[in-house]
Amino acid sequence: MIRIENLNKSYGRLDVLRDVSLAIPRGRITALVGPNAAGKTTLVKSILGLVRPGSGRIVIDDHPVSRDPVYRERIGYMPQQPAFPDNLKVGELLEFMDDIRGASEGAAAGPFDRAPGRDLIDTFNLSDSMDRRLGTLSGGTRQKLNAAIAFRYGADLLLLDEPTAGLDPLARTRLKEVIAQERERGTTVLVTSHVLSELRDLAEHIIYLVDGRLEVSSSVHELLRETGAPDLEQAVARLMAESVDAGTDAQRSGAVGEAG
Amino acid sequence: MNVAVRIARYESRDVSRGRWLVVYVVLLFGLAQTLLALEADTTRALAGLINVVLIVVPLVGLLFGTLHMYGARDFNRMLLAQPVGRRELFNGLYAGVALPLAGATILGLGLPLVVAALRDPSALAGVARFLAVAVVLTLASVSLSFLTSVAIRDRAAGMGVAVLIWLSLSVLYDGVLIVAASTLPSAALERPALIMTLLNPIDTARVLLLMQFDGAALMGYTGAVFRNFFGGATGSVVAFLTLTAWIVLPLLLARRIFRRSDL
Repeated sequence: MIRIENLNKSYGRLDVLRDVSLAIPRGRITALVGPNAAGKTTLVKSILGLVRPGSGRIVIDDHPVSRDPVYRERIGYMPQQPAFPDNLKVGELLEFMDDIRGASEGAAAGPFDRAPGRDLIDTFNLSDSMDRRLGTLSGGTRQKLNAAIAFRYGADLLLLDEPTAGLDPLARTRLKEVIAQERERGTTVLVTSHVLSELRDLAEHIIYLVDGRLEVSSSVHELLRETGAPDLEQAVARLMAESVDAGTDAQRSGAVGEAG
Repeated sequence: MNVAVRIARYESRDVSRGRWLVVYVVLLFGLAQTLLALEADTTRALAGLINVVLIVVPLVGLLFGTLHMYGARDFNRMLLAQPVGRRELFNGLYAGVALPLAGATILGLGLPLVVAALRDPSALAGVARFLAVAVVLTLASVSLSFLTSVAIRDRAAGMGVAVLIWLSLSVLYDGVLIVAASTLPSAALERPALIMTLLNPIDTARVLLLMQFDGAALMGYTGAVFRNFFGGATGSVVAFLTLTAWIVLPLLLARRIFRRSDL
């Protein structure tokens, strides 16, 4: 389980996360949603240690997130916009990642038990692209490779930032199937997405951020009951509309339009 | 194998295959070959190449390093989402960029010069010194480019600062020195000029290279002071140590910023 306690982060005078405290349940799929500039990416980056919080702390299964990178052995991360070295080949990139994960030596260097990774190369038909230079790949193929790397090392925590962006319908369906299988395996998954219909069949828990503040952290079931909405998409749209009503902020209203 | 070494191995493979590195090798090779063809004597060709090297090598190092670091920012985030520490990543990145660039400098300049020096063995020591200074200057300019790119978040501003650093060290500095030389008596300039030289890696490299030629005698009284200082073993060691400091100090500062910053 990930526990976030009183997390604050500012960039200059801009408060991006304001006293956020929440728990991401273990072995479940949690959707992280909110309008633009809500602090979703900063929260994910904080879990990865890419962003240093101003105050507060993050604890993953009793291991506080620190500068020691060993805790990231158990994390699989899919960034929103994957960028790879242009002049390496697909196969070389996978070798590179295997190499720094220590997978090529067949042993985990840290204290965490890892399940065997899931090879998505065939799932996404990437086998034929092994000798292609990364700089020549289309956006969709990059995203498939991005997913293949995130799922490759048997992580028990997956952080997926807009995972289906740029994927064709077939790849999108396959990725959702793989995420569902990870849930069966007991993997904790945190997904951010603007396309809420993507999360409809997957998310079991929802975290809703607005302006860096935690508005909602509850099970999807509970949220549907409280809002009286028929599905997750409409429940979140109602939450967003409420936030706009509470404070008429131009930025928020833009995001409601996007979500609706 | 150390994580930094693994990163450096793949980084350098990526950098070595880049189009710009090939262009750089061809450019240096062409310049060296042209000067060797124009001058019958290898040592004279070397003297002609000094100015080219002092302009081109730091400019390419600064621009190439800065561009590469900004371009690699997203991938670096991805690497840091793996069990990789920032220190290891930074060290691996520096080695992965600086070493192929140093290799390109040696290949582009060294190949024609070494071939020429083999025909004219008296020039061999000069060629070795010349290549050593070019490599050290490459490493120093990549260090400065790394410092620029981690200290300045905005890519366009960072590129502007990189160009400004090069302009200050190679052009504006000369202007300041000329104004000082024309307004102050030469005796008053000796010590400040020595200190200023050590504060500018390009000038330190220039003096180190010029001192091996008789041209230094043309620089008058101050030239004699420089020759006394840099011409001796102590002076050469001090100059090389200063250039090494220009590699290490910006790099340590850049790594410190990189380890503490939000990515």
